[in-house]
Amino acid sequence: MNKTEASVTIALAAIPNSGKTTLFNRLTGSGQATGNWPGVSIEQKSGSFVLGEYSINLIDLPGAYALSPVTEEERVVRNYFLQSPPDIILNILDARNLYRGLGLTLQMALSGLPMVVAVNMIDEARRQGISFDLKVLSQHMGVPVTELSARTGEGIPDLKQNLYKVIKYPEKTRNPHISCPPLLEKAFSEITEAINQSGIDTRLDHTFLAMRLMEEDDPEQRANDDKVAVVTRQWYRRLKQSLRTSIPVACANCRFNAARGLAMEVLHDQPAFEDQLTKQLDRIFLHRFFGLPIFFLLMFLLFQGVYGLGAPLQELLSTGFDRVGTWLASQALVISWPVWLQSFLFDGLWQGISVVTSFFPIIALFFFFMSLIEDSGYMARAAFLMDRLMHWLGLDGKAFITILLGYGCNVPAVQQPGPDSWDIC
Amino acid sequence: MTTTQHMPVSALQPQSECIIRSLGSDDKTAQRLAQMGILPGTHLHIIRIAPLGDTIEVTGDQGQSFALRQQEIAAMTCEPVAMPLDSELVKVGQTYRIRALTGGKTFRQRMERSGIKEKKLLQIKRTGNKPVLVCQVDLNKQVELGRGEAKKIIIERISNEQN
Repeated sequence: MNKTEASVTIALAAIPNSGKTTLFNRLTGSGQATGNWPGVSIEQKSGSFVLGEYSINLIDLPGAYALSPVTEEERVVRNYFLQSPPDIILNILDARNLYRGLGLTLQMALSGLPMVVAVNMIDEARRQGISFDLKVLSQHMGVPVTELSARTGEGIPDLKQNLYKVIKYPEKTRNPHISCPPLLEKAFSEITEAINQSGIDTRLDHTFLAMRLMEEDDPEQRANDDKVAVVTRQWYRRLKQSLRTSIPVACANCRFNAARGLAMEVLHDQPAFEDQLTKQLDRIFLHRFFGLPIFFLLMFLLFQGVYGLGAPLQELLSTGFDRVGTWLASQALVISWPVWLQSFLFDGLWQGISVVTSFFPIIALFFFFMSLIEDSGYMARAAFLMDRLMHWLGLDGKAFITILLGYGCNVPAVQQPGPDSWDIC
Repeated sequence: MTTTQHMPVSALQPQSECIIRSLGSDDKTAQRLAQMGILPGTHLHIIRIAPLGDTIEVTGDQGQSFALRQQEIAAMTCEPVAMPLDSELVKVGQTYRIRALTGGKTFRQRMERSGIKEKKLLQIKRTGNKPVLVCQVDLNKQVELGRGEAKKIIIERISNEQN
């Protein structure tokens, strides 16, 4: 990294539901800009904040489970990493379940880019009686690890300090080693050799590039060097024949074997008591017979709350606007104005503002209640309850949330960036 | 002898468990599952079925929970570990251990009167569409169970020593 350059790009990458958006908001505050990733309707969010003498451009990548893409979101993340590698990766793990996110973390640790890991939701994990030794994690991966809670803000200064250190004193860390079946290892090393010889200019680790190639459906076309393409083709055919699973599954197997061992070493105490409260609540809210009636009751209450409280406010606002409008229109000064101007001001402008403003209470209340439901974790449960119905419509359970949003206002429903922004639990 | 097979729908009941042996023939689905850490060798515990069916909550070895669709589980090949007594996976002549009774309190009490409670061994005498006939091993007592009752009794294979 060039030290004289004051602007640093950090990419925030994590699996869905790890509190990515919360951390993003926590770090950037109001300095955000949204757009779309080129060619797809997936929201691209970036924000900025200042860290010592550096100005940081933080890019919020869509939630992805791996860099070998299955979903559109993962394709966006893969392309981003390969085409415009960030200066630093900021990865998030869910403290309540390290294993789940470690697959992606290990994959990114192999990229050769500097990385900082944030173990999020530490407060929740503590409450569940989980404790761990994050030094072990840090040593194994060769990257700094910070425990934090994006929700409460705990540990954020530590994270900033770690990021600062990585920017200020970049040092080449060794990549973690993930052991794979011998045949895969051999494939990777030969392709890496070919990439080395191709003289490619990249900040990405060559073994990482070899892995990315082999985990694609069309590795040959992706190789931008003839020799690499030849070696890749040979190995791709050979592996397809001799592996019992597809190559991406075999690779995922290697990663998660490592992740399992790592999680075991890092975890001190298995939760002494599991999250009994959540379990009990799930038993009621997802009950075979009561689950749906409870769901409909809650939705009924939501709409009652929104319209019951919102409608009188709306009434109040619109009568207020009417009165003020009539009063203004009756002023001597105003009456002396030409009729077209009066009409423009009162029938046009004033009326317009009045109509739009009177919707405000309903929309605000709707979002308030939605955020209550979301924070409680019921949203994910509702998606589970509704999945069958939505699946029948060709959507998935989470789409129901979008439909619900549409009742408040069509704009956010259409804007709805995708399932990734809804945190489970 | 270990049996690896597709999990029939009847075996997908809360408290059932199986070990995944392969993720199924659809490469994209397999890759998706693998990336979430659901891999061959993973023990899948069925937690609950959504009220409308089809969507199933499962947890893996590492305590991570997922919602999977029935077809995704049905496409995998698995080694059943625990299943309801009425499932077609249950073999006549085999002995199983009772893992859980999923019914209500009255049901449990009624079953306990015949010695059917958690951790007890059952030998299967008859399956099929007729009532299931089992022998409570400790008491050496034969018990006939209706299909509805059998469905609520989750049994597990005892380790392979006798297979």
